[in-house]
Amino acid sequence: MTIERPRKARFLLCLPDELLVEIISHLPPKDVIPLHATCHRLRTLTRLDPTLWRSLCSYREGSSLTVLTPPRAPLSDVECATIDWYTEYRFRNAPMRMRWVGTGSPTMGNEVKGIGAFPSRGGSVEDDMIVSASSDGSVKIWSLQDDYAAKEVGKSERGLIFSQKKRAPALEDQQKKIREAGIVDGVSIDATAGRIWVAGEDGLVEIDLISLKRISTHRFPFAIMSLSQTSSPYPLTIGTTLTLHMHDSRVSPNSPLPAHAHLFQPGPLSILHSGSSIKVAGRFPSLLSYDRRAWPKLTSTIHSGARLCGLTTIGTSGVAACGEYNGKGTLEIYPGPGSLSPVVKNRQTAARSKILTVASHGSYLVTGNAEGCISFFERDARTVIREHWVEGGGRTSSGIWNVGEDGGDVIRRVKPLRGGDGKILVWAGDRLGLLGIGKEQQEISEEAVCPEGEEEEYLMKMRELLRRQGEEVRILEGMGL
Amino acid sequence: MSEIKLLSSDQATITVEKSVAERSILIKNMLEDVGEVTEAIPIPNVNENVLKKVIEWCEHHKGDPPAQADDDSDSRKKSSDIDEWDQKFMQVDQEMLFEIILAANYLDIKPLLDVGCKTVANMIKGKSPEEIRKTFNIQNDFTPDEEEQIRRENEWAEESVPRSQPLDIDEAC
Repeated sequence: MTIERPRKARFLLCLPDELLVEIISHLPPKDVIPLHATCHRLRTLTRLDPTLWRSLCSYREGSSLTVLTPPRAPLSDVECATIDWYTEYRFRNAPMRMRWVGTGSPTMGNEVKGIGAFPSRGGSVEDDMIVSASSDGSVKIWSLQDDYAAKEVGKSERGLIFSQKKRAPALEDQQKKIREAGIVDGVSIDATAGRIWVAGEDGLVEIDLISLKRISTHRFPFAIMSLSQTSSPYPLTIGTTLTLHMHDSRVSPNSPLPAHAHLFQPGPLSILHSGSSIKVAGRFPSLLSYDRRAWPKLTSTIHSGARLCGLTTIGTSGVAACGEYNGKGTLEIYPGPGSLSPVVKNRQTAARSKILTVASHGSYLVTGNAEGCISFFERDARTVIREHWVEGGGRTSSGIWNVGEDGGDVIRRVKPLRGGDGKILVWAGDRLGLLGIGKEQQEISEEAVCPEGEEEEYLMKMRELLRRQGEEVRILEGMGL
Repeated sequence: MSEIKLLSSDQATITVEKSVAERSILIKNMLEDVGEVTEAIPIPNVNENVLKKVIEWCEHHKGDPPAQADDDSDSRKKSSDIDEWDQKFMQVDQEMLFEIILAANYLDIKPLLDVGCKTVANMIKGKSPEEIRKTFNIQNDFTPDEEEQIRRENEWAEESVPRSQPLDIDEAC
């Protein structure tokens, strides 16, 4: 047995790690954060230690008790290891800011029609490039800068994704068509192969990521309604009005179509790859499930009853779906096979209007609805963590005076970017934005301006109301009281 | 009432009541294993000054109900309340404070360890990184680049400082 030498602890840092951790465990989050910036050792213990921030995520300021709300659809160990819990804490608690990509106000004929993101360096998992398809038929590439700015680094010619037969003369017509098609999942990127797939007017357009030139066009018997995201090594899945196709990029565009699945009801709106299974949601009441190994046989269906339009994976095999049910938004959780947690269909409190998009971000779900509200939900699909209204959003429309006021931009897609500090790419209305953590900048200070504007608006409305009341009293007086 | 002897690292012998010494789980377990001892028990990690201080605490707290075995709840941890006597007891220089924490950890006296850690935590609370470095004599070993990156990451929290100030005033009242 070795006898430990008496230790001298003259300074804080002479204490062993376990005692420093013990001390830190007595601190509330706001006092842990300054420790990040003191020195490397304390940073390792306070910033990079996953368990600390994981427990602080359920800490509520002002109450002496920690409110523990375990996620109903449990986190797998693998997921826990991949979540940056400090980022998670910030997304749950820190002020949020939205910064629009480009000018923020689209010029005519230049509205965003599809988005995607990819890492600029091969092998990296940090999405730092974004792709947008515009209604003028061009594809643009933006590079993400520090401080939430995005710089345009590439732009294809106009009309690249339009039919090649009838080009320029009917550009307006084509714009209308692509607008009507309402494709939401219309862009898919395979960064390893250097390809962008866009659901164009005359089929699937394959574009080179570097030169932004059209490589080929693959035609399908019906109009394309949705594309899966590429998850190499799996092939792209394409949903047309009435069929589902697996796309092998090595096949020549002119060869006959390989085996494909027929849909009994038209309108697939979202295709999700989850392991070897392919899940499809759309304008039909069930969630269809296919398996690559049994393609094109339908392996199972899950009845939902709602019109689902967005899917995302949660955990290893669970699926979260969003859509519309009786005019209201619905958010539904379908745990994977073998999971003990129940199926949840939140059709009451999820949103007042259709939820168009859902994505997993950290240990929670991000949704976007038709009123311009980006909501963060726990995995029980019921507990709202926070909401962010896109400017012009219905923040004030709950008051009795605001009925009929314009809602915000429709949130078409939310796409969390991998790596970095967990920014979320948002496609709202015709614009692209980046939602993240931090102070609002001066030039985009929607948060800073809004309260003032709101106050003024409120005062004006109060004045108007008082004036009316005064008039009423006068009229009543005039009636002989 | 039986008494036992403790031998500190600097070879000083201190006599204490057995019930007081048994606040230390380490000593308690040792006595249970060994039975009656007449010789001094060596405490090789703790010097005389610190040991005396620790015993002083144990004597004052000998009547306390034993701590719940697994009381590791966050509510206990997050409250910064330290009772008045303990606060006075902990008014020592930093070196002594850290020695007490080390000794409490070694001797396995959980409540004393808690009081020590809370005292240090209270010294950290409400301070900027620079102030913390100054208080605890910590070398800033970040490169300017790293510092900038950290600053950006924590920017959001700096902003919320003015908001928490009214709360502090409330507390002071």
